[in-house]
Amino acid sequence: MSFEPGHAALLATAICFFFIGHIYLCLGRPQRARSAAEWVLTALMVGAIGSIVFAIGAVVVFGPLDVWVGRMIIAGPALAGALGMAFAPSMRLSHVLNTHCDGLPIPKVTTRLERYSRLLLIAFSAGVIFTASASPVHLFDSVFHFGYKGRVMFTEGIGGAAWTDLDGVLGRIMTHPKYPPGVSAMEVVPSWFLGHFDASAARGLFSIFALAPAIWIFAALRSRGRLAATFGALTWLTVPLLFYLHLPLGQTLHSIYGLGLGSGLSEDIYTKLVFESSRDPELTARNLRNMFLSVWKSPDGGGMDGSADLPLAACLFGALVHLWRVLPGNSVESDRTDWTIGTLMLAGMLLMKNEGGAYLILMGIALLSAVTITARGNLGPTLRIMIPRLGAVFTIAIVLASPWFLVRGSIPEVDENYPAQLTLENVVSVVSEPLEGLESEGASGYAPVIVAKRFIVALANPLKWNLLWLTFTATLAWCVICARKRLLGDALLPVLIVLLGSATYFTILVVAPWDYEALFRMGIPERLFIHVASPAVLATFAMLWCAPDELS
Amino acid sequence: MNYHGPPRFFVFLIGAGVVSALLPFANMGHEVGRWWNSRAELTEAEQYRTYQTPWTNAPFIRFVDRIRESVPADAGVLLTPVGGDERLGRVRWHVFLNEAIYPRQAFVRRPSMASGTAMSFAPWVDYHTTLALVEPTAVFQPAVPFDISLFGEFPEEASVQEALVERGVEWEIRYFLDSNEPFRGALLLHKGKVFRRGGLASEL
Repeated sequence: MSFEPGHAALLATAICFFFIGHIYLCLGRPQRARSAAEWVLTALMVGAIGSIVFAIGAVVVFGPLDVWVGRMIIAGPALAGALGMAFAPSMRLSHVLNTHCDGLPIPKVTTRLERYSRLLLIAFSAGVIFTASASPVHLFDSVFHFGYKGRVMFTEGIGGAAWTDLDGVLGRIMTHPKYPPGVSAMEVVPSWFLGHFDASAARGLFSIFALAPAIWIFAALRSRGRLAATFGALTWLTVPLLFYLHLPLGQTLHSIYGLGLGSGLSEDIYTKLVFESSRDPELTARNLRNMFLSVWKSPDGGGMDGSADLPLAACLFGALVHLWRVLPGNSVESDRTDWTIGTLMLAGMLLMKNEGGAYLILMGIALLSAVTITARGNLGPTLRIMIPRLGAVFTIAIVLASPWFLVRGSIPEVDENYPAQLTLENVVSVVSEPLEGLESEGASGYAPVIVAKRFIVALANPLKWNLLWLTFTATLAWCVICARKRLLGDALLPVLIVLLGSATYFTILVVAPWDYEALFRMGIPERLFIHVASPAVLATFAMLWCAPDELS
Repeated sequence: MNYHGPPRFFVFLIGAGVVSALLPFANMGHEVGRWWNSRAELTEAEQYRTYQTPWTNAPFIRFVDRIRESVPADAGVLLTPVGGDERLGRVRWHVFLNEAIYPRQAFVRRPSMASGTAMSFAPWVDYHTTLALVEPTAVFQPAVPFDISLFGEFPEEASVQEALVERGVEWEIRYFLDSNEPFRGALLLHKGKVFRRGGLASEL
């Protein structure tokens, strides 16, 4: 593989992200134990999200930036971070890295099982980096929802005619114009270093959205033992959906799987779609042949190809795990830096996908519920401390993301508008009346039944999730029935996020006027459940490896 | 701190999960091998062309290259589907062209329908066929070469023309919705006159 200018831009961006993240983390006065891997990946995540927030704000205020201005606003803070690391004693890595975890030395690998599982962890991490780096951005959502917005942001800025001239008899084209430009900004930053826009210039950096949750899971579970930490991280990194959206062996595996679990994403959907699309037998045959032979079904690095679901998942989990650490009564240690990381990740969540807004509300509900439930007779003082702090965190996050929301109001609605669908009338209608024309689904025709069935089929699929959701569901059921105290400790907050997120998606899919066949064909609900997959891993292992004081 | 571990059943379940991770692991190895054998020597641009999506395949990229040669970078281009039977997402040429010919600004009629999800694509095309006052299936003969002029003049709404003048759009691409031979018989017009005809290599 030849070294291209895009690779140099990627490298420069990664170095800048690290030093920007480093200075941000140091400003929070870190005190708790962080391994070198956790520090580096957290710094990269923080640098990436900080740069995205700053780039969007700058482009909204000043319009499209000259490439040299863009380079300076990213390289300037990075240079400050590098100088700080070199000359300020409090910012040296040897000062900020702590080799003790919860007062104990970080456990070292001793047994053969641990050694092999660590090797597997390293191999999958390498696989993530390879998958993210090896291909140019090429999938539909990545190219047209995000790559195109990046081109526009680089050339015309945010909020001009390309975003707003989308109604009337004549106008321009932008698919999902109200999708936030977080991923697009991530592509614009290395493009400033490159000198022209290239959506693929950032692709290698998408590996941090898979690796950072893995190290955060590892760090969060580290005090629970070596195996809990390693297997927790491994459970996240071995989710096949990180590596491909469509199955690697084409339709064959899916069809075999479909026979066992009923209809879902199967060939009959394609067949029906094609036959409905044309009454011409020759054309139909040609379409069918193309569909089954095409490389559309080949592995594609579904989560790391420049799409937004994995970045949203990483930001959501980054916010969750760091705000989870600072909850009173939590058995893991925390420091002020956890607050500042959580705040930035909340802002990143808002700028990655519209679902980020929903998760901001769900996070608020879950945090307050967890604080209330775990306060254990100390509710008043706990709330008096936590509510102002959490209020400040949420307010700052909203302010950081506000430049985009100021622009968003002027963009016309041309596609889904989920909140508008969530009316009592719609809810009553879908629950009480069967949908028409759904006999081929093999379901009763009631939207909740169809969606519930699809959720089960999708989440039980080991070819997409391995055993993640099976393990989570079994653990949750066991805790609810036999070991409720395990549920009401450290595991409570991630469990609440998983359940609230799933319930929200279920409600929206039921209420919105979807063409379910087309929706399921596009990888829904799998792409939505990747958002809560890492919280599910944390919840599962926190329930299974439980601190003694959680059971008291 | 000594933590209470899980019951044996869950240890088994987690272990089974790690063992079954060998499947994605094997797939990863397969992908590395495939990349090493077929794409490692290619530049990013060459790799891009190896994906057989509608917007990365050779005929589409060749057509886009021709448009880039002919149309100035700061020009506006009206995209008009004028026939063809397909309504699947793979022939949403207006979306693909919009991205590929940028910074040339692509314009369409009824942009709210064109910018919507794949579900609004078929109605958007039908809107055009209604405008053109032709029945595509009656004219479109995929097996034989055809000429877009079979469709005659495209009757425009007066307001569309006004909007085109207002935005300074002088270029137009008229194309068929055919995924197998994309842009066969397509027309590039400048100020209403044919500037370039056809999208296939043999036609260019």
